[in-house]
Amino acid sequence: MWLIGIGCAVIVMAGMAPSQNPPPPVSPPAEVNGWQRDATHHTYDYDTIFDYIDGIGEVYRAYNMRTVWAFRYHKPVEPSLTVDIFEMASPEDAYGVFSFERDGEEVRIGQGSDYAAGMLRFWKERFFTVITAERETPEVRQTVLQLGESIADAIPRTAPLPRLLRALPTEGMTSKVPLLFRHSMILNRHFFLANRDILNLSSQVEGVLATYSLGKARVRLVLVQYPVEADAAKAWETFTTAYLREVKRQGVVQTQRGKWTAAKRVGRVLAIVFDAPSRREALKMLEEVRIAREEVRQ
Amino acid sequence: MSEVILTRRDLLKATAGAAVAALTPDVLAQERSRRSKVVLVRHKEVLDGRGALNEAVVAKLLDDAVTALVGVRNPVEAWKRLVKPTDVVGIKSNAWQPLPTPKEVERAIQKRLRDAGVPESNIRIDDRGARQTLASCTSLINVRPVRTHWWSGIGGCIKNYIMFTDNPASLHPNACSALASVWDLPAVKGKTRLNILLAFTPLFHGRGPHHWDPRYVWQYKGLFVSYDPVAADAVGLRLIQAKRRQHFGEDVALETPPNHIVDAEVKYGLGISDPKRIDLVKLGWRDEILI
Repeated sequence: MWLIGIGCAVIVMAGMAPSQNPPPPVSPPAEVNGWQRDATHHTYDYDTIFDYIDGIGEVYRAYNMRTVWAFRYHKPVEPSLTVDIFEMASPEDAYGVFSFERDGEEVRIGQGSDYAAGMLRFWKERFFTVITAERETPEVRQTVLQLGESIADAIPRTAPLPRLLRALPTEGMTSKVPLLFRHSMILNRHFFLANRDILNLSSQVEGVLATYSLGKARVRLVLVQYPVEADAAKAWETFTTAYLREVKRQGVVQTQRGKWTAAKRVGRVLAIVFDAPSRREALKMLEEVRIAREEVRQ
Repeated sequence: MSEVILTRRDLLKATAGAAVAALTPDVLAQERSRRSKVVLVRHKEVLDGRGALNEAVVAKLLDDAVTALVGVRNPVEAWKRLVKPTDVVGIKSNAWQPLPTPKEVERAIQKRLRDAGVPESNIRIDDRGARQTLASCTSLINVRPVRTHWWSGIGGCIKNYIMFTDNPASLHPNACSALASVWDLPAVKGKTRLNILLAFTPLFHGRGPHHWDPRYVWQYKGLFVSYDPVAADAVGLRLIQAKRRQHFGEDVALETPPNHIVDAEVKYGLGISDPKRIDLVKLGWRDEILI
C-alpha cells in the first residue's frame, strides 16, 4: 500500500535531518513464506546514514539520498532478511545508485533489477530497494524475489530513464546499465579519471559513463550535463586545462599507449571519449553523441 | 600548497613506478630501523562443521598468540605484562552485525584480564558507545575481525577506533587516509596494550549497502596479535589480497586503496606498514596459510 506522496519526501532535504521519523513509502508485507517482519523498522537520513551502513553511506549521499527505511524479517532456523528502501531525490538518482554496482542477473523487478547470492537490488521511480539475505537457499531466493515484487508493485509510478542515456551511441556499447554519476568518487570507482574532480561535478550535475568495444579496444564515453551552459563552459576549461593541456584548443590528444582522447562541449553538455584506438575513431564517436536540442541550453 | 592533479593521462604516460611515487609520500625518508612483530596463530578446529566457534580453542589461540608476542610461556604472566590490576581496561570490540567480534573472544579476553588481577568491575566492553564508555579507561584492548571495507579498503585495528570520534564521517575523505589521527585523541593515545585482528572467517570482497556477501567469506581459522595496530593491519591486508588473488585468479584491486595503513606510518607515526620491517611469527595450523 502506498502511504505517502511527494510532499513528505520534500521535507527531508539532503543534508537536513528529518523533522520527524517519516513513515515508510510502502508497507512491506508482514509475512512472506513464513518470514515474519519485525514490528518495528528503523529510519535513517542523509545525516544519520553512517549509523546504519558505515562508510559506503557516502555512495548513497553522492546520489542525493534522502531517507532509508530498514526492515528485518525472521523465520526460525532460516537466514534473516533485511529490506532497505532508499528514497532518493529523483528517479535519476535511483537509477544512478542502481547503476553503481551490478553483478547479478536481471530478474525483471521494478524498472531494473539485479539478483545474486541472496541479494536483490532494484529501482523504481525515485526508490532504490535492496533485499539482503544472510545466506542463500532455494527458499530464500524465492522469498527474496517474492518480497521484491511485492514492494515494487506497491510503488505506483514508474519514471522515464535518465534523458542523458539517450544521447549515448548504441553501436558497440557493452554496458547494459551505463553508470550515472554526480561525484568524481563514483566515476573513479568505475573509471579512474583524476585524483581530483576535474569535471566540476556536484549534486546538480549529471554524468553518464558507457563502455564500448571497438575491435580489440575498450573505449569509454563520458557525457556530463550541467544545470546551465556557463557551468559547462567552466567545466570545459577545468577539464581541458587538467587533461588536454597543450592541445586543449584542438580537443584531441594521443596518449603514450597509442590511445586517443577527444572531447567537445555542446551547450551545457561535455562529451569525452577515452582510449579510442585512433584519432578518427575518437572523433567519430564524439560525432555520434546524440545531444537533443533541449539538453544543449537551459 | 595546492595538491598536484594526477590524471588518467599521467598514469598512462608515466612508468608505474613514477606514478606511484607521485601518489605516495616518500617512505624512504622515514626512519628505517624500527620493526614490529605480528603473531599469527591458527587452529583447524576453532570452527566446527557448522561454522560455530569452539570456545576452548579460541581461548587457546589467544593464549598461544599473546605468549608468543610477549615472550613468556605462561599466559597469565603475559597478560600481567600488558595490564596492571589497578587499570580500568576497555575492550574495544566491533559490533558490525554480519561479522562482529565474537562473544567467545570477548569472554576469553575478559577471563585473562581477571586472571591478571583486573577486577571485573574495571573491565568494560563497547563499540558504538566507546567514546562515552571507554574514554576514561587507562588501558585498551583492541579487537575486531579483518574484512574488506568499501570506504577504507580494509577494516582492521586502525579503523576500529573510529568510534572514539564524535564525527566518524569526518574521517571519510581520501579513502579514510586520516584514520590514524584518532589514535592521537586523549581517550586513546598511549593506552592500547594489545591489538587482536581476528581472521576466523574474514570477508575478502563485499557487495551492496552492507558490503556483505557470504560467498566471499572463508574459514581461515586464525588470529593476529601485535602491539602495533599498523603492522597487524598491514599483515591482515596481505592476507585479504592473497585470498582475492586465489579466488579471482588475478590481482583484483580493492574497491578503495587502503592508503590509511601507509599513512598511519608515514603521516602519523603510529606503527610500521612496510612488510619488510614486520616480523611475522606463524604458529599452529599451516594449511592454506596464504601468507
